[in-house]
Amino acid sequence: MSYCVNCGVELNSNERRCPLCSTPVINPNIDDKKSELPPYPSESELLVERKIKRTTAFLISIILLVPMIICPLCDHLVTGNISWSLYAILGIGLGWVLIVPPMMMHHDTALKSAWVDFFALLIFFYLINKITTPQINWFERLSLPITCFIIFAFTFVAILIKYTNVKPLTIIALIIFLVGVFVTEAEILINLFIGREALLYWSLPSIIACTALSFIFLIISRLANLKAAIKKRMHI
Amino acid sequence: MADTKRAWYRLDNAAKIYPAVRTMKWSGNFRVSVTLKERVDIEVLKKALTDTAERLVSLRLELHRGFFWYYFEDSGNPVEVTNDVRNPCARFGGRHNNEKPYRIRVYENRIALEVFHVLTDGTGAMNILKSLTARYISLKYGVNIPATDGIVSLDEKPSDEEMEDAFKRYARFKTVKSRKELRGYHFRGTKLKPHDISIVTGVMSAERVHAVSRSYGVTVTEFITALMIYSFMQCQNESRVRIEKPVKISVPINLRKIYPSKTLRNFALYINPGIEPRYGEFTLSEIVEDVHHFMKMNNKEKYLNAILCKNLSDEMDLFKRITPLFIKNIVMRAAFNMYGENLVSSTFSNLGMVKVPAEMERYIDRFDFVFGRFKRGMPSVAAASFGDKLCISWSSGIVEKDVERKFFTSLVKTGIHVKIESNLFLNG
Repeated sequence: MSYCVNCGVELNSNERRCPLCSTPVINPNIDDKKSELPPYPSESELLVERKIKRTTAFLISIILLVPMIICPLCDHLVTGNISWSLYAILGIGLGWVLIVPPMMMHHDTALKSAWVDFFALLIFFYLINKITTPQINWFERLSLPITCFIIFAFTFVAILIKYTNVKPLTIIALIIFLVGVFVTEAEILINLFIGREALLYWSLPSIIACTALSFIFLIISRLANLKAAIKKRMHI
Repeated sequence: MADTKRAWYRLDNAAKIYPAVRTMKWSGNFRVSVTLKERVDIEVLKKALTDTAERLVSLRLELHRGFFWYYFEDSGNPVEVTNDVRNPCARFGGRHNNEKPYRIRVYENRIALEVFHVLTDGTGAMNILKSLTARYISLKYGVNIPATDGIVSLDEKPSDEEMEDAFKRYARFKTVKSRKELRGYHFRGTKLKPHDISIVTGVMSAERVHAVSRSYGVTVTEFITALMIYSFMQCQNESRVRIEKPVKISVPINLRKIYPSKTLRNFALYINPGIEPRYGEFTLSEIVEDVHHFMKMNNKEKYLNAILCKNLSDEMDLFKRITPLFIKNIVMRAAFNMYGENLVSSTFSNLGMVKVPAEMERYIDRFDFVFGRFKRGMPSVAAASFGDKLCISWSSGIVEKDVERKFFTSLVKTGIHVKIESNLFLNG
């Protein structure tokens, strides 16, 4: 007969830890081989995954496939070649990637979907660039670095939230700072693309405001007294 | 092609919500079990189940989806007996498959009946389990067990009353009671995986708990409810929430004790005793007193009939009746999210002292009553006692055991010896 020293309850002799408080049970008088039967078997029943998600994904795919076939046919019949229908096909293809793969995923859906969407967007932008304005390489000079920045920033924040114990206010500070950096990066890239110098004009107030705001959040998250004082004065 | 000659049954008023609000990962289930003094003989149990199912329609029912409502159909045969698992009360059925709304599970000396709430309530399930166990004991040991204490006679024909929707029979419709209530406090923590459930059962002396309850001048149900409220209140205090919410426990009232119905389907209503922590910190004695007076005031036929009429009036409204099921499901889900688990911190169902004929008693060690995981994973409590053994089972979808610990240590502090059993397997 074992008792939990923390809770005062008697435990089944097969328990190695108290089920209520996880305190280890140390009873040298208990013989492992003679311990009571556990109250439940060790086998678990797994949830039967319904096929409804797969069916829905299949239906969506079929629905999207119809305009993908009809658009080029109509385009060819009217204009004699494939022109506007390419945009429709690319748009629908991108829509398919944004909707269907997340339905088939089970774990880390947000991060996995974000990366799938990232590659789909890159391919989409690349093809649009090649079809519409092949003489101006806006894909490599604008779309690629901006999209890459977004996905890496998103991955960084997602990993921080999921795998570390960083305080919520610190995360908010980081997100605000990253928004400031993103605006700055966007302006530099746009300036370079349109042939200006890489100077900051409209993004300067943004990066200053974002940095200041993120510092404020960071300081509040570190100073418990300040946090309590703000809570006291700002309580609703 | 569907067999149109099979008997079919409407769902009772309380049952209608359960198929509508179930999700891919959850359905409202519970289980009652009996632990015998010897290992269960599965072959004999199968025979006992077949015999009992010939008499008890409930054991042959399948849930089907109609255009306006779900309904039961008599399939003609019972379920297969299966081995017990570590995580009982898993989700029942799919939207389109016609699964039976119950399972029979066996583990060593224990026979467990897992029930989707659409079929019956705790008392109905316990009567079905007692009938099955009585048949098993009479087949295994050659004992003749009389059909008393809720056990049905296998020689008699099923009565219509067993399958009646007793809510309709007893509703007076003179007045209806509003469901408006404040939202209750919910204990929060790390969620278990959707298929998993944490069950912590405290086994204690029923007589000792009676004595402690008597010392407060209340019933066991009132005392346990008050202790639950006390435990949740302490957890809310420790969590330092900005605005404290009422701590309320939903307590089902078995209407068979008020109305002379013999129905084996749902026939219970819920009342929600609780405290308002914003009024100040309550002591256990104060909570016990509040719960006692609340139960005394609300557990009256007239009040319960008004609640019953409100539930029935929703179902009987012509416009609602002719609305197709898929629209009803959306509305019922929304209503469940607003009024269901949202209003209360937890649920406590006490089946009380389970009585069986004297001929059965010496073969039975104890009865257990366990809730399935709630939709939001909040901890809930079910209790049943047999002889001097009272089993109080906490079911939860949350990893942290703060409320359970506070509850059981409070019991220990009142001088009650508690033995803990769980399905958690914490090693090392």
